[in-house]
Amino acid sequence: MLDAGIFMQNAGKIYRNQNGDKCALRDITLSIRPGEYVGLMGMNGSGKSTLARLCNGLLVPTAGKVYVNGLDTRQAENLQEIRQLVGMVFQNPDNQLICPVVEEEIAFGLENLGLPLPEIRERTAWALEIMGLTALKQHAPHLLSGGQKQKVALASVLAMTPAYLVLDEPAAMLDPVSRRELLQHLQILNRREGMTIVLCSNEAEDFMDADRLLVIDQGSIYLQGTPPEIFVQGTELAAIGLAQPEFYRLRQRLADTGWPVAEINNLTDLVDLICQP
Amino acid sequence: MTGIKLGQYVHGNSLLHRLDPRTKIICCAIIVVAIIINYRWFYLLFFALLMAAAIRASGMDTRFVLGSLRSIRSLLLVTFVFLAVLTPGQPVWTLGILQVTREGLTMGVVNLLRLIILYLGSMVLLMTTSPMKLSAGIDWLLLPLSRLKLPVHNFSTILSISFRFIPTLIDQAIAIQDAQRSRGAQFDAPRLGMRLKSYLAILIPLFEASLLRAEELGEAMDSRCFSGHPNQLRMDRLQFQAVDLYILIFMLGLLAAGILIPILL
Repeated sequence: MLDAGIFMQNAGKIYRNQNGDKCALRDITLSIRPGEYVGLMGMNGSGKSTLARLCNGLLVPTAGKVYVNGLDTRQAENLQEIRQLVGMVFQNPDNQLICPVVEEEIAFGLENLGLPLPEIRERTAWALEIMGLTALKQHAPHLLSGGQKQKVALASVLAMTPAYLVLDEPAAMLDPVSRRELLQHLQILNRREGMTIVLCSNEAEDFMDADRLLVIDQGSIYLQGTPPEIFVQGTELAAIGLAQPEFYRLRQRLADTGWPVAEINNLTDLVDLICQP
Repeated sequence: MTGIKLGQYVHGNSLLHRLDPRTKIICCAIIVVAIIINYRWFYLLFFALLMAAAIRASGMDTRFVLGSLRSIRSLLLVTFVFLAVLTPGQPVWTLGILQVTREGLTMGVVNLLRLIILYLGSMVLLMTTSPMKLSAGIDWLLLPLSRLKLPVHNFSTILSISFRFIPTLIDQAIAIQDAQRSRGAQFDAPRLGMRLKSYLAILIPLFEASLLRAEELGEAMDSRCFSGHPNQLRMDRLQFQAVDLYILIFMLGLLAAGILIPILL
């Protein structure tokens, strides 16, 4: 268990409260390898947020084990190291920005790590640069747009140079343009910087760049495979309240009416086929 | 939220804006001490005029700030009336069991002036210092306390989170108010009871939302290894210049004068 990666062994999570126990996750076994882009798709309440929080020890499993680069998340003394390894971006951009100025926000994690000032400056400047936020560094977060806030949140996590980036519905509160931009950033980080990415969402369109997709339902892994393998299973997805991406739905409908579309894997080719004279 | 709000930072480039926040905070502390230990009328009047001059020099809307004194008029009035009536001494008027005394009137005027000076002083501090600089200044001034093993950095984090969330909470309160109004809450009802009830309908959801927000914020802080750290980047921005020194010397001179006047006269 000393390999690099996030490993879950029969991990389960039960929330206890006065209304009785609620099982959020049961018997999850999975591994996330360095450099992978993994999607977690599921409805609200499916357990994907719980799964995301298991990755950096914000929650610890009530059954089974979770290891990050060989570190057991149940051991409190590992937590600082685990959280430095696993950066986390949350859904609500307003509730994850802590400081009154963008620049300080990005330095927040670095200050916590006790880095010397020159290094804090250097890494802050780098993170601002990579997210295209340099012009906003003296701004107050509440004056930024939702998309900009979420970029600040991402930059402040990147400044800590995590090995894994876990994002819990980061685009849920964004407008379509900011959403696309954020996803583009993730793709670039994964392809160019080799960053491991775990993205949670209930929107199938968000996972077009993912290497692997896990569909979570009622606390268990319901389907897994590459996004194209999953997206063709329209009936299975609909059964748990999820929708196929538009492209797959269209291709399915065309195939049902006898069009030769089985070999076509992108929208441009599909358009070319339909528009043939 | 637009327009100038009382006590909120207004961007500017006056001498007062450029002063080190530490200088301004220490000056405010000096003023508090000075007007407590010496309450001769000319000394207090001098400070009141000094505050007016500071407001003028900072380029703030003088009429707006002085006009805002009206918002604390009931506090001023109650202070004055209570002191005038309750201080024992030589009676001036008698109204039944109530006696307005000569000493009472003097104390009333003195405390009225004190309150006005404190109010104007804090306005100058808040309206010429950005929250960022203010919290850097407070952080720095609290540093010595960390020697006593007090969790100073936690305190400054609390402070900076408050500064960060004040505008967010105001926006949310407005959103909730609009939501409640659209369901028929009467914020301008003629009856006070009805009005209070309407405001309660803002407070409760706002409180609940804040708890939720606090929980999520806690997760975000934990995820970034929060440990109660010194804020180096923020402190590094503080710049103590010659003019800060002159102003501090001037204020200390005033304080010394306040101590010496009662001894010498």
